[in-house]
Amino acid sequence: MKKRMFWIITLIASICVFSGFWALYSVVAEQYAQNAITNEKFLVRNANLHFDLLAASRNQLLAEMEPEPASFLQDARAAAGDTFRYALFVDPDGTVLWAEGQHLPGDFTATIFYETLYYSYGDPMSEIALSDGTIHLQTGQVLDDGSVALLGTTIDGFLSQTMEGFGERWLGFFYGAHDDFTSDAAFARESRAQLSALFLKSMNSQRPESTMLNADGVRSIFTTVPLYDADRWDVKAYLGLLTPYSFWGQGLSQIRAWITVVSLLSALLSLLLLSFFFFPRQAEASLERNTVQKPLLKGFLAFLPAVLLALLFFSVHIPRNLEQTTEDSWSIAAEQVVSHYTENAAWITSDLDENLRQMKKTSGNDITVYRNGQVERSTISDRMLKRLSAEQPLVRTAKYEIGNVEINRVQQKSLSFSVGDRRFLLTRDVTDMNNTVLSLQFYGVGLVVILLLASLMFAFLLANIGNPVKIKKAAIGYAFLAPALIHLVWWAAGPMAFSLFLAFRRWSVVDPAKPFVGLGNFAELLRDGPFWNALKNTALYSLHVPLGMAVSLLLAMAVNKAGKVAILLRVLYYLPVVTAGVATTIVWRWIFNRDFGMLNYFLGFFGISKIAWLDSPQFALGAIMLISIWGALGSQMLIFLAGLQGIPKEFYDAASVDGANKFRGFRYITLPLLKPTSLFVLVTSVIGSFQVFTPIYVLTQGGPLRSTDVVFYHIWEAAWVEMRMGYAAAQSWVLFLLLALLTVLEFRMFGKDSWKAYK
Amino acid sequence: MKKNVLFVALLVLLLVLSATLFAKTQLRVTTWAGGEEAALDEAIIAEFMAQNPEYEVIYEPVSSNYYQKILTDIGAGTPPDVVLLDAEMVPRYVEGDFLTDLNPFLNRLARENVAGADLDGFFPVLVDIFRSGRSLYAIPKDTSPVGVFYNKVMFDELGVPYPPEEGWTWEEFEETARLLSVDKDGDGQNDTWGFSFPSWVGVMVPLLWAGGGEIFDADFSHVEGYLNSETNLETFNYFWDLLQKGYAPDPQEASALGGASPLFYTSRIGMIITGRWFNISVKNQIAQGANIRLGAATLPLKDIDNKETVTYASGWAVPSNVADKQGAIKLAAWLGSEYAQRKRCLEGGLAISAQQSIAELQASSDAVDKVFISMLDFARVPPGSQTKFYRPKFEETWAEAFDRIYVAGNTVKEAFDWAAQTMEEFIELGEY
Repeated sequence: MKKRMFWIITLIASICVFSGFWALYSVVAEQYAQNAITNEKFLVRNANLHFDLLAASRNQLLAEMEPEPASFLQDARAAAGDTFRYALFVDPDGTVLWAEGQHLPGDFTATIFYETLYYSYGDPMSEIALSDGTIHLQTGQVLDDGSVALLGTTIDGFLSQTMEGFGERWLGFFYGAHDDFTSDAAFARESRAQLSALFLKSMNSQRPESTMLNADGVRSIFTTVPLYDADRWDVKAYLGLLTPYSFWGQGLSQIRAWITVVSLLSALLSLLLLSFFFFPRQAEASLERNTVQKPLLKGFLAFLPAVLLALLFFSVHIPRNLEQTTEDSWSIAAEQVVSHYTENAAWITSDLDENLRQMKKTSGNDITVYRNGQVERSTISDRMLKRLSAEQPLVRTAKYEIGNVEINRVQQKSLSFSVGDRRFLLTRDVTDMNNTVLSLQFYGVGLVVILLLASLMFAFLLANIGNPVKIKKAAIGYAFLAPALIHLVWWAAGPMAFSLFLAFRRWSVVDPAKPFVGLGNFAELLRDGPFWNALKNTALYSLHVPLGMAVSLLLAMAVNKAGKVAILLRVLYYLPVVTAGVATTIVWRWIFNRDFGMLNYFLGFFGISKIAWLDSPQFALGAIMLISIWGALGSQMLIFLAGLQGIPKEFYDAASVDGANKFRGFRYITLPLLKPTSLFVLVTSVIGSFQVFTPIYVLTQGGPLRSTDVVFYHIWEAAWVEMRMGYAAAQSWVLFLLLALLTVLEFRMFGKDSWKAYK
Repeated sequence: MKKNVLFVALLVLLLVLSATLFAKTQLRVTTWAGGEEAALDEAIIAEFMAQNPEYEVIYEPVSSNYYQKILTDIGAGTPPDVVLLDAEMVPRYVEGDFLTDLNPFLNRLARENVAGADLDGFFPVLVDIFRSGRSLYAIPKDTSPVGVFYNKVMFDELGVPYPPEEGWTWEEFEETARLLSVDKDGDGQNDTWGFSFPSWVGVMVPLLWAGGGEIFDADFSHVEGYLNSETNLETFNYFWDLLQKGYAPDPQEASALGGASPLFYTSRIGMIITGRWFNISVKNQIAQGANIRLGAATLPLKDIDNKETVTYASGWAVPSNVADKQGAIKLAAWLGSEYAQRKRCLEGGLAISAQQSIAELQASSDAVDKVFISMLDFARVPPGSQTKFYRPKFEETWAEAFDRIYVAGNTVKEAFDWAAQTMEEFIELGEY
């Protein structure tokens, strides 16, 4: 019977291990799809860039032609070559002088493009157009005499060129409005509604957008990006990229295989180890006395393989696998990117500043151009350029190099190649991928914690298999503990652990990149003068604690009497504690007023001239200390009162019989017996004083000249004004450690007797 | 029985259909408005919903920690669809890629005659505040140029001539301030003063401009040699001397007396240099019986032909990660439209309208506003709308520099040099 129970529990334990891995697999698969979509967006943005470069090259074509109506047609034919579709000439009145070629746009003079050209200061412009059912590129220019030359060219070559290296993908145009478009794609008919919704989304977000759809029965990712008119105002068409999901599924199947092996292996090992450690060797009857030595350690050991494998999976396998996909996406695009940059190098370098900016906007990649080893131009700001790390090559071909770089510690996948005497470095921010890894690792930590807890639970169950009463008692005990425990983990231990994690990262609420910076935050702390100034102020400020305690103790002794007056006084002294801090602080502002304040008025009686309490660096901190003493008086007094009432009256009686006066009674009875109480008040008040915030926030905001800038206020500023959570967390931990140290010192100072009272 | 079932089924179908057909897109607007302004905003939004029944607008005024709230919302991926931004916040938000470029949308919306989408109606300087290159990041809400308010009652009592409307010189300003500073009880201390010392950065910057100086260089990459130029030192010293001469109350004394505004309300100081927003508070005081007749003048100028001031503005922006940009921008445009401006500025009198047509109506109905509106012909965009180094770094640095002069007793040159050097370091490090 007991043995059967043993096998059931052991089996459940190993099933838990097994299913734990598979529960996570579903999360991994989901995140993996997101990662694939990010990579597809990267590809479609590069295709978009190629389209822009094509338009730019056509603009250049037109710019280089003689603006003579007579030679224009001939030149256009020659220059456009195979791509020539039509040429059109319109005089300043808007009459078409002559037109030649196929698919001529009949309504050209009525289009916004025609209007746009008139605002273009004579610069040639291109935009995608449709006439006679054919999608092509229109390039136009206003000539000096006000007439307009228009060239129509095909863009089929663009698609096939861009597709080189794209594998099984499909790339194409969807011309028109989001809900009324022309396309030759077969799947566009079936999925019209889905595409329409996606186009709308993309038009509104001004970014590439993706969706999963069935194209001819194949599950695929469709990604689109809007193509704008020549003026970059209106959306004229959409560029769409279709990729079978199986393309990215490869990495996922690797992960699946891994999980299969790992989950089976760890389940099996836990089964084996549990039975090895816990198998009841005694006869059935003597099982009650079955004792296993160190059961929790053994349970932990049984689950250790699962924990180690999970750690390995999430810290090594997942990051490596996802990183490979971003590397792959550069490899897919590299060939085309290099050739397009090479072909258009003349245009790109004609106005590096403007063109690079435009190219970054379209492709999303930062571009840095080097010449003679020096940065010639970059879309990365000067400040960030200084924090650009050296490239670590991953893939090297004759034409290009793919690698890793960091900009301000944010990881980038880079592509670098040379064109003429210039070297281009293209960097792709892979924060999305890193955040995916990070979120999966969070789940991984969750799995590990659950495995560890499960190991303890199963070990306990197996060790006490013959003792159901003990198990029942434990279950009831933990059930009662659960609410408090959950609260503690959720609101205290969890956030603290998270803040420790933050302290080693650069973590802004709004910046998606949250790179690991090691001890960077702490190193910055060492250099941060204002932080040390704040710490100095805090230390000075906390000097008010002993003073306040002395006053509180005197008050406590004064009201430690029977009678209504004493009770009334206790209530009055306690009132500041229950009054809203901000409200009382504002009252204090008036008390501290230089000309009309009560404090200066009283000091005036003693011939002390007016003091600008809150406006002078010498007095501001003192003023805040005064408020704090007053504010803490009530609660300190109450605790001292409780301590005083705990001292037996007989001691005083005995002392007075021996001839001791009141002072000696206080010195040799009250003070020593109050030591545990004083320790408590001191420790809590010092901690409280290191966390002072309200009066400073309301009255001085750290001024004048940082004389009231305290650590807690400094932390608050870093977190909520500068939004630097990582740095704020690092400061909080330093503060925490200092407080811990200080508390230990306080305990030492009071001696063993005092804190033993709390055991 | 069967009939009943059919009837119920039909009813359910109808309900489901109507729910889908009339399902409204929700848009959230966040502002820092309180009280009166919030009521006006709600009326403006109600009209938007009446004209665009497909939208349901949720109005979310946030009274404290406004920017923390919206940044956290944007960071969490649940941004309000339209947010009100101070021009000084825009550069940082643009740098962080938190804002939508409104231009491509506005062009399309303007062609559809959507209210507020046509930028031609706005004062050009206000559009410039929110423009960066070809991009526009907010639609101007309203504006407040900085000028001089004065109390005609006090001027009349002391027999001081009013400042000329078309602009006045340092000498004229000093003479006016001198005449307004009077020791009434003969204790050797002035009981009334000419003006309140303008220590706040938002006023000091245009005053330095009016003195012929600059704060930043043209592309906002340097302050050294600009902020601490001889011209700026001269300007600051000019005002500092007036303080030493007793034409303005000592800042600590002014603060002890409750601040500059109450001193103005109680005819203790005759002039106050601040933004047009002050008009609202003065009107409230007059309504409560304060003895004030308000006049307005330009900033005192070193060179009468070189008029300078700044105009502060806030605008309606759309976070870059909102779901329905088109709807959000339509709403943002509406909030800046003539209808909204008429309600907020003409009926509510809250600020100078950003729309020229409404501002003209304001000018014809309020003489003080007229002076401020005329300043928009030469007012410059606030430096904070052009560089992320202004808020909070420059503001904080300036405040500390002033404390160094006033509290710690540094010379003006020492403090200005320190401020310039500190800002250079911030810019060099890229800290903002």
